[in-house]
Amino acid sequence: MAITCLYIPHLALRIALLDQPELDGLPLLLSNPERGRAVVMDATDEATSKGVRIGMSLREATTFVPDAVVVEPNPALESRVSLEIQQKLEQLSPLVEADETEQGCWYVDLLGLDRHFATLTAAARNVLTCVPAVLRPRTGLAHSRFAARVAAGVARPADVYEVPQGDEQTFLARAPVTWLPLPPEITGQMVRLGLRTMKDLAALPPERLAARFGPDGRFAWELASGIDKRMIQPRPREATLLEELEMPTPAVSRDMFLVGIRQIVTRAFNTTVLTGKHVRQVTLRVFLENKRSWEKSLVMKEPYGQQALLRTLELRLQALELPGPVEAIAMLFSGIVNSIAHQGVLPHFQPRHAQPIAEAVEQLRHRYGLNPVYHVVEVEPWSRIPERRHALMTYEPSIPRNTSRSSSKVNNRYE
Amino acid sequence: MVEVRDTWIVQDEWWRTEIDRQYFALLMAGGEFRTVFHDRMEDVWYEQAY
Repeated sequence: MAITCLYIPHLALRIALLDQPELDGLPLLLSNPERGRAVVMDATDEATSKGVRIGMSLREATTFVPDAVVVEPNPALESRVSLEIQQKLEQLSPLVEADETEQGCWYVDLLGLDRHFATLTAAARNVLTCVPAVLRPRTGLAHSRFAARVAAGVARPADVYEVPQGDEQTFLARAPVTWLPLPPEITGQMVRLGLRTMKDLAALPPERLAARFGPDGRFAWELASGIDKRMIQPRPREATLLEELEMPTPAVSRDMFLVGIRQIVTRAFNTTVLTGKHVRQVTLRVFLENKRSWEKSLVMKEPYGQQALLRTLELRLQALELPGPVEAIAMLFSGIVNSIAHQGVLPHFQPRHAQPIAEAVEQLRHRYGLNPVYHVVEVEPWSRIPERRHALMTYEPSIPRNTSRSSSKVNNRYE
Repeated sequence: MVEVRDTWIVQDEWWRTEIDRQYFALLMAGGEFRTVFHDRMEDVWYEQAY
């Protein structure tokens, strides 16, 4: 098994360079100065070499590096770039896995690629071509996943660091335990106990590590000893649809934004992918002016068709306050399933239309001066006292906007 | 009445109008079930219709 790890340190920072390559080489800080106390969320090596640390306040950081360039997070662009990289990698090998715990890290199984690229090193070097050079990617090549990750961590930008088969334990010996794919509280405890490198861990009996740290301790010992049987798990092939819309003019109002949403949803449901289908999840990416963005995933209670989805989106985005003018919207539709049928009501059992009931109530109100129609509503269904569970309330009929049978049924269902 | 199928006590809402009831689930001679309770605050019997 030959695995290469593609690693892009500080991905969230470096994607800013895609639009502004002239910033390359300057100390960059990732922070969100518009939200309360701004802290440094990430920093490039040029900034950390001058004393900047992650978690430091932005004001403090700029005293260390007065010429630092502050970059705001752009989650929508990060997702887009990450997906593009993943798709390019998948053209090289079907076995590609994005590390869910670490942004900017992918594993590629190079099985069979040595026949295509002459050597595995050449195949690993080819992986670098999937990423724009300005992002400074590097790869590690090894025969286990963890060794490949550590090799990528020590590789120079645009270079491949190869670990020969059988040399994993020797190579890993000096790597710090903080590089283990374990929660920081566990690696922190290891450091406090004096276990600083993989060599320290590998020297201990695995039972003692298991007794102290549980399954994580045993796993850490195996990784430190060069034993890593984890396979590459490619992402499930799921049908998705990405629709994007450039706003004709930057939208500043919620109404204008919702018009854009409606247009994307309508367009999406007219494609062959979504015709006659329902969707369970929508990821909304909004690109704002000044290279900012936000992203939100909405998971529905059940798969929705076009109309129900539009109503739900409008409802959920009701309280939305746009943080800035919206330049573009992208929607990723996933969880695509066949249309869900609902059991209809037999003709004789259909409820009476709201309109005649409303008219009857109005007539009774005129005749008696008050509304004499009541209905039972559930108030405290959990109560131990039976009469507390329900209450009798005046029935105030609401007249649906669209009184056609099918529409009113749907309205009742999703309101 | 043929049989007392169940009995339970509800003591609640002491912070407003206190409730103290003993409920009985009864099987009647005709085969139907009825639930009655003894209001122990007022010492009165009621039938719980629902």
